[in-house]
Amino acid sequence: MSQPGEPIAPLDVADLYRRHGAMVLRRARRFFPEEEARDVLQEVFVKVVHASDRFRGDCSPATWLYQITTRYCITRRSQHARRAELWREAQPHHWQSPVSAADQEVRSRFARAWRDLDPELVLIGVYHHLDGMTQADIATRLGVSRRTVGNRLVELQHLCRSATEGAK
Amino acid sequence: MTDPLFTRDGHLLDLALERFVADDLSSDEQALCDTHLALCSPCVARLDALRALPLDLPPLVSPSEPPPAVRRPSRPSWWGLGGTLAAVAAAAGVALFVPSPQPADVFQSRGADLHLEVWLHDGDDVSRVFDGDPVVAGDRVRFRVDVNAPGYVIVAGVDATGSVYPGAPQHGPAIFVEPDPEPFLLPGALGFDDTPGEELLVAVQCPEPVRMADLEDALRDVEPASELPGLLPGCSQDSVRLVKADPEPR
Repeated sequence: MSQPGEPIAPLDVADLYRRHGAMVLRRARRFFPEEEARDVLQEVFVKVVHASDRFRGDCSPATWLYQITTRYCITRRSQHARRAELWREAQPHHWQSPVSAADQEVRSRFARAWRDLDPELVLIGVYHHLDGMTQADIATRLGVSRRTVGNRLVELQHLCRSATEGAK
Repeated sequence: MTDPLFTRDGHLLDLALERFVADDLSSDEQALCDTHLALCSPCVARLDALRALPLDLPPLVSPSEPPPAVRRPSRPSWWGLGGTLAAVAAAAGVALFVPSPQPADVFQSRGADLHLEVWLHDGDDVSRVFDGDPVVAGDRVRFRVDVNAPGYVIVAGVDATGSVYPGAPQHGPAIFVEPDPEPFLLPGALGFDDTPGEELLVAVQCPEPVRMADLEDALRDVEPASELPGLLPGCSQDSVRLVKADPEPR
């Protein structure tokens, strides 16, 4: 990670791929079945080629890549979203990676509500409920206040509850 | 700004474990992780699971290495190109997947509701191809579609012998696509075999789920090199005709 005032070395995309391609694929597998996750891997690196000059060095390249992947997966899911598909996709066999605290119920609720939610809100939900990040870390990553993160999590909780109740 | 390492429950984040595996941590971060792992068996188990996950990540492919001539519908993956994409992009410092400027009338749309883009990887580079463009055995293509209304999209192809094949998806149901500023990249890729002549690639979008078999049946009735009729009632369609050269004599 660069220190303030230090010049930022340009990103070597091929090196990023060698070192962190597996991480991107594993992250994509959290959101998509295997074949689509592999597409995501390719597409994320295409995005990285475009966006490499936007890397500011305020976090490690791996963290930056992780964020790009997460955002891309969320956007892609929202584009795909259809209620019937999401019900099927929320079944456990589509989520093969080991997950710690993040349980299927949370994923399922996200999935059902995904289409109508603001992607930024979903991103906060993923960081909090799936990744277990603290509100402070989420706030730092997104450049918002911790209070904003807290408020948005409450908002997300209400929306997911409504979606769940509406689906019953 | 620092990179987060721990969950709110005090365990290591997935991201931290990934960076640990990739040897991407600073010395301070490494020390924090080592200390935690020495005391936390659940995180050690997660780390072991992470390392044990099967991954056949494609190696970086030399840009000069041609892709194997794959007979459809073999491995329906655009992947295998990804490494090349990254390598080529990194080596050349150029953006990939950027459409080159083309005249607006190159679309072969039968309706304004669906536009099909065909993207080709020739072993060295990725570029969009248009009606009449040449391809060779071993080239791989992927499809992007631009739609004006929500609907179900499939792509199929016909070669010069009249053989019909699925393009995208190569198995499973039609892909639901909604209007979006960015064209939608359909999953999967296909590789061309060495049958010379025209390769007609047709995308259809229907308001209801459409079966690949229905499109394939409709395409079997199309005369080679003839103007494409409306294939499926109520569906929009678009097509691209590519020309495959004779394979070089061995």
